[in-house]
Amino acid sequence: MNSLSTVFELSDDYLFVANAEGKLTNLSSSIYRKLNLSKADLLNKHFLDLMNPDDAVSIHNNIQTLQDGVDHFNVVSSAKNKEGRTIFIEWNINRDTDSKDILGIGRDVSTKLNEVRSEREKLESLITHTPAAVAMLDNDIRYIIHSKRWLTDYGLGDIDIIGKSHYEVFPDIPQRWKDDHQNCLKGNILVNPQDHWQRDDGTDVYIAYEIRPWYNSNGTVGGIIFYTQVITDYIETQKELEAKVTELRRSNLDLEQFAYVASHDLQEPLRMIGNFSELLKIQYGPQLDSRALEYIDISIGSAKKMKELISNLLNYSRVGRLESDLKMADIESMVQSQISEHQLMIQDTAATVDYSELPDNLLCVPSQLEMVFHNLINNALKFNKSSKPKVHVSYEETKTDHVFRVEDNGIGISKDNINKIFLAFRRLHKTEYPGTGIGLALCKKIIERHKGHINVASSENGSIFTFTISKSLTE
Amino acid sequence: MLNILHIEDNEGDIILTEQAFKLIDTKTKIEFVKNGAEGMDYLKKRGDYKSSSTPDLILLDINMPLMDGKEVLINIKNDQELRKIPVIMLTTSASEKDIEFCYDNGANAYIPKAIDFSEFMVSIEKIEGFWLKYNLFPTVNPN
Repeated sequence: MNSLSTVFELSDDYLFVANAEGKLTNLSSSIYRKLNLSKADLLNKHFLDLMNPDDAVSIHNNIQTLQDGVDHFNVVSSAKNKEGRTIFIEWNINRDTDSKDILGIGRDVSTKLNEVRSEREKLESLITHTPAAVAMLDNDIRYIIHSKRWLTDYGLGDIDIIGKSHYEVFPDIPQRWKDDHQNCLKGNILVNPQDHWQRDDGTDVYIAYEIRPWYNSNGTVGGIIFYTQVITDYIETQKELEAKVTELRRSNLDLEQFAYVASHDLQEPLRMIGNFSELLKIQYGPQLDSRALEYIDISIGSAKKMKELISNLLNYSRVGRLESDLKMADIESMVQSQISEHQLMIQDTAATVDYSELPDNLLCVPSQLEMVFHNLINNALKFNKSSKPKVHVSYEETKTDHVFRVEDNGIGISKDNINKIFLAFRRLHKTEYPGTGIGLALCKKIIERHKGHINVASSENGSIFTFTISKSLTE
Repeated sequence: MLNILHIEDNEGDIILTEQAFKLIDTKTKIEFVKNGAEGMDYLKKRGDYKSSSTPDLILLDINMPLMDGKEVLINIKNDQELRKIPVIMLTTSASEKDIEFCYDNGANAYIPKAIDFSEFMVSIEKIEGFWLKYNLFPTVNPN
């Protein structure tokens, strides 16, 4: 007895003994020392008076279970200390099986609780201020917590939805989503990078989401968490962009179609003008004077020039049309045949055209790539005032591309003009050199169709054209 | 003597072919019909062409009204007798698809129409020279 009263005197925990009816018979001095209570007030009072009246109902229910044979229970209840601050006491209430006396041991858990509370507040704040629409729901798909963005992104305004059913907040949730939620409650994670939600008011909403179950400490699913992002604006922008790209592609195709039809249809009458001017000269030449013959020659010459222009234009428009197939080609023999084609020009100007090792097996549209070599070699020889024009073709490969280089010692391209040379019908030397102004534009278009790029470096000592053919092309 | 049938709708081209053959001073006899349907009548000796003579060589345009050159080519090459006659496509089309189609269907040559007459003369001269001087023709009995 003595030692018990010493314990009651010295304990920092809160101890009490109550009789079978719950009336307090003994209290530790800590209760009087630390709590805002006095001894006289408490003896013979019910031990519930030690606790916050707000908790009385749940404690009372627990007391019932004590009477039904359970020997103890735990409960946390608040109280005021001497300084008037609220503290939290975790009570361990035991019933002595023999005497039926009730023994209570209380410990101040304020610090521990405050820590938990502060952790919880941090988490709540993190969720609330997450710049995404996030919500945590329970097993009945009722809101436990959500981010502010949840309200704004789904146009809910400033209403309080905590405790409300998700289906009450959004009456137009489709059944398939409800099924998803049930599925998720079984422990499955659902991820959808783009889903369409036709709302009852007719608006289209696009959402990217992930739905995960969350777990109680005992390992059971406590509910689900929505991580969602409203991507309607993004999807709409993307759709607009796609529509513009389609429109652009169509108008490009129209233009190519127009160029094709126009040049094709122009060719016929032109062929007649050219042929008949010549036939006229052959059959009636002897009866005509020199001036008439000169006029006929001008007609023939003009027809030829126009023919060249049209045929270049036709080539240019054909590159965009899907008429050509990718095939394996021997580039060395392709370049060799272009050199042969320029033999007359090479002899006339005492030029040398050579090449270092070139691939013999390269996937491309051969007829188109040949046009590129034709134009580049032709330009290198044509725009050249050197007494010994030189053209050199070389090749190297990178991880992703085949890289070709055509170098010359020609007149070069001035800085002002270097950006203009790949535009169609841009002729830099109209009077001095003949041409149609399509060659390099054609090269650029062909190279782009081969997923490559073409550029030029130039000085007064000559030009280096570099172009690539992608290795990612497939037959 | 070489007998040529030129199936061609363009009046200008008819004159050009006629003149070219005349200028190279050949003994070739050349006949013209103005579209594919007439061409088939000529070859099958039907209608106005009951007394036509079977040509040794056919020059065939592609783009024509009524029946185009591709259809004429298919008809000729599916005919047990006519298929023996060499067919030379003479056309403005340089389309890879057209070239492939014609060879697939039994064309014997494919020659683009030239823009200038002297070049055209050269090709006619070569056609005539090769087929008349070096080639041996089969006997064809259309009926």
